[in-house]
Amino acid sequence: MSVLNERARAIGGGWRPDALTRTGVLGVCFAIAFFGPELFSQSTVRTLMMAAVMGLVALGLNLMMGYAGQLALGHVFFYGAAAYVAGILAVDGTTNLFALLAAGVAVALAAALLSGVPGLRLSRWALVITSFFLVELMPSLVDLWPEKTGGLAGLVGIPRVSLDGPLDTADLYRVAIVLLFLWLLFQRALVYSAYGRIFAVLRHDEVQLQSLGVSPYRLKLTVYLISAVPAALAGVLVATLDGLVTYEAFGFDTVILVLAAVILGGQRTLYGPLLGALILVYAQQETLSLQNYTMLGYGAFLVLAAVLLPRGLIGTVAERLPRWRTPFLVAAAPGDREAAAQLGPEQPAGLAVEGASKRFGGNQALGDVALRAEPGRVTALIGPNGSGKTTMLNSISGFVRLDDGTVRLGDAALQRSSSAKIARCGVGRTFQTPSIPAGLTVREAVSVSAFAGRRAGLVATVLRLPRWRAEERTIAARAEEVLRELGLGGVAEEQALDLPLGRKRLLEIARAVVTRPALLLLDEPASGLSPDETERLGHLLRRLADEGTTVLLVEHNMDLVLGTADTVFVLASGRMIASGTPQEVSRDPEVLNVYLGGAVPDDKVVA
Amino acid sequence: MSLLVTALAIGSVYALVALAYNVIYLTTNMFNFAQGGVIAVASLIAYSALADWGVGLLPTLLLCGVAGLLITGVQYYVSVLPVTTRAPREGEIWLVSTVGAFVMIEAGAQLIWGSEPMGARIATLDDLVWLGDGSVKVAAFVAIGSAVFATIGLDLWYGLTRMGKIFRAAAADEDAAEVRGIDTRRVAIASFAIAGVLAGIAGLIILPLTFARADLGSLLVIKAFVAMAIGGFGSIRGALLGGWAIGLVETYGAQWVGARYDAILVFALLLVVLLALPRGVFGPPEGRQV
Repeated sequence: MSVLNERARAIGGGWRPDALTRTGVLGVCFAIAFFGPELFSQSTVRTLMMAAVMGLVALGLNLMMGYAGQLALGHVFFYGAAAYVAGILAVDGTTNLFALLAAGVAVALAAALLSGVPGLRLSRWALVITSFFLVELMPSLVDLWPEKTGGLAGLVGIPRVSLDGPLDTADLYRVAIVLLFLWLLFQRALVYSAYGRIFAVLRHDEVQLQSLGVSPYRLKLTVYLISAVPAALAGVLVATLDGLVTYEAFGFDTVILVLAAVILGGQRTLYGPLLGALILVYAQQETLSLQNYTMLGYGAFLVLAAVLLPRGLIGTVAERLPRWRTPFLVAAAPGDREAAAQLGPEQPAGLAVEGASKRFGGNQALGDVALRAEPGRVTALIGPNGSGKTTMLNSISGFVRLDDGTVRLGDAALQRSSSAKIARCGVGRTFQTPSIPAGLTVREAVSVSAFAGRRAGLVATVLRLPRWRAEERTIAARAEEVLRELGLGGVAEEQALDLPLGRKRLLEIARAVVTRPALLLLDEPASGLSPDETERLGHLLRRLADEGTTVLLVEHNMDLVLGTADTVFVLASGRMIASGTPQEVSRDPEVLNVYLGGAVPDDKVVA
Repeated sequence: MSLLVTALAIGSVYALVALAYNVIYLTTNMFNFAQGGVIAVASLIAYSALADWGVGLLPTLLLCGVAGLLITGVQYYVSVLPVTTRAPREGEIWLVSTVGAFVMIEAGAQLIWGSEPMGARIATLDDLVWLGDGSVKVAAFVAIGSAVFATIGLDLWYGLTRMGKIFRAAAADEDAAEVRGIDTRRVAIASFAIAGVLAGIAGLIILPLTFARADLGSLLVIKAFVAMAIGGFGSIRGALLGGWAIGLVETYGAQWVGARYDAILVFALLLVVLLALPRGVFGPPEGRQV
């Protein structure tokens, strides 16, 4: 009950639609659209049909560009390629709707792989180029097999798709409406799940994504492939609508139309692209011939929409109605608390670093360093600025590749693995500078880290199977437990981005803890915290260690180190100069010298 | 020999367009889509000046540079500045506004000049040079020379001068640059100005090779982007290398494989380069991540 009260306080009073209401409204819209041929004129139905087709393409683009934050311009090519394949198949062999849909989707996925594999690897812009080039290639590709594709004149005489028998126009329209709403339901279920939460991280910071155990490349490629599917459905629908496919329908003008539909309706809104497509298709039908003045106005419209409505129609409205926001994480039920009682790892494992060496140019950041951290103990790593502490953490978590040396967690050797793989092995970490993705509440932002270890796959997620719901509730309960430990329970429903710096830092710690990592790496967690917050942090670290977590702490705050650490290692100029209990280390003459005197020669100071 | 010169000349056209895009990308991390439209309008103005108004070559060059500067300047203040100040966190909204500006410029050019390609005999530039196995226009050598000159000049300027380094710093980390007293907005304005003049002059240089046509920008923009991807985004010498690579593949591909395959061969070149060198040939080295 307290959770609900907190939520009500955070988002203000007033009516807000629950999931049932939302689905009900969607159902009514579906019914009206489905009975369009009975309700509306023929020309209106045609406009709705084309809006559904362009809407499907725009939904795909929005998934990639809006939600995943990856610019791509190739969805019009998927749309066109599926249209051609469906047309050619319908002329040559089968007109069966499901066969054509399968063929269209297959060719779109192949095209997405062809442009995505080289386009998504490192440069943010490569995909824009490869996918845009696909669109430009359409006439050349069509011209390669003129006897099949009809060449530049277009493919004509395509028979209607059939289910039992050939569909009439009204039935084809109904098929389009059904496919559109099925896709909307799919995309809604996908976005409001662990996928939607991890998309926020993907848009924000790929380094952080890796530290959460997710490979940016694979996630981006997965989304790109998914986003190709609705465009392919649209292509199959349009191929048999008029029995005619020409390459001109899939050119740069259509790219602009789809892009404009997404922006006008609102990126990262579920229905925005559909609304944008409806408006633009209607406007296009009304001013049928795209004369030069129309194009001039169209260009001006794009500029104005981008300048005046950067969040789009629905995005702008949604901004005014924060309490209507759909949460990205289910609420935990009281019965889920037991699942959250344990924050320590299922399988504790100790960290052992041997002979670690790393050189950056002329700087020996680490020279033959050894370090051990045991499960159930808090191990602190201290040292002056530039002594190599962060390099050490980065080497353990895979962001820096050691020149020499080994890193073991339990039985697993980590030193050659990618940072995402290391994170999946049970290494959680925070960074010196908190980095919080936009658009998530505190509890949602904490739960993003659960993505890599999720057991409910895409199908269970989208179909909302009990397995998915149970997992989400466990994560929600554990997030609430950690937030409570850190004193953030009262702000769980606030926007994470609005938190002050110290609380952002605590949020990052909570995010690393909810996955129950075997090894927790903390890079200066106490800087910017109030004494009260530092005390809570110390309490949490103690509890984690007691439950079997291996905690490795890089910290300047000596109160925290002396108060919570069981073992302290001291680095200076890339060398381990001392280790032992806090008391031993604080009496070590070399440590005192390094901290109090200028004992480090200038040529050994590492940047 | 004449085929090689033709290939390099076409490649230099792409390189000049890519350079105009690169100058803006280098400091703002934006693709100013409308730049292709500016080049098209500049070449149409050059055509009108040379063929209709009887203006000489040098005054035309000046006219094109000024026209490119003015159009790009207006386009910056209308479609780029308001977006970067009003919605800096909304991802790539500038893409939509610069595409919108591109559509406007192209539609405007079609209203004024019509949509048919127009070629005129231009004194000197259209003269033919015999190379032993065929002849090429003087304009081909002018295009190659201009692309090489612009590449070397810009590369030296960005690499060696203090002002050039300031420009690159603004792109590398806008906040850090601001802290060090660099006015990143002024750097952006200056970059658009340079790119505008470059686009204007390029419009004249490429006129004898491409003819003047309102939709020239649409035809060139993708090749310019590919040249940037091959050479490495933001790399000046990369733009020249990428442009030439496309020119060679297109020309020799059309000769040996068939004209209908030229675009597909360029696409294959792009995929191979990106798979082997994801950052392009002269792309930035891998930076420190954390």
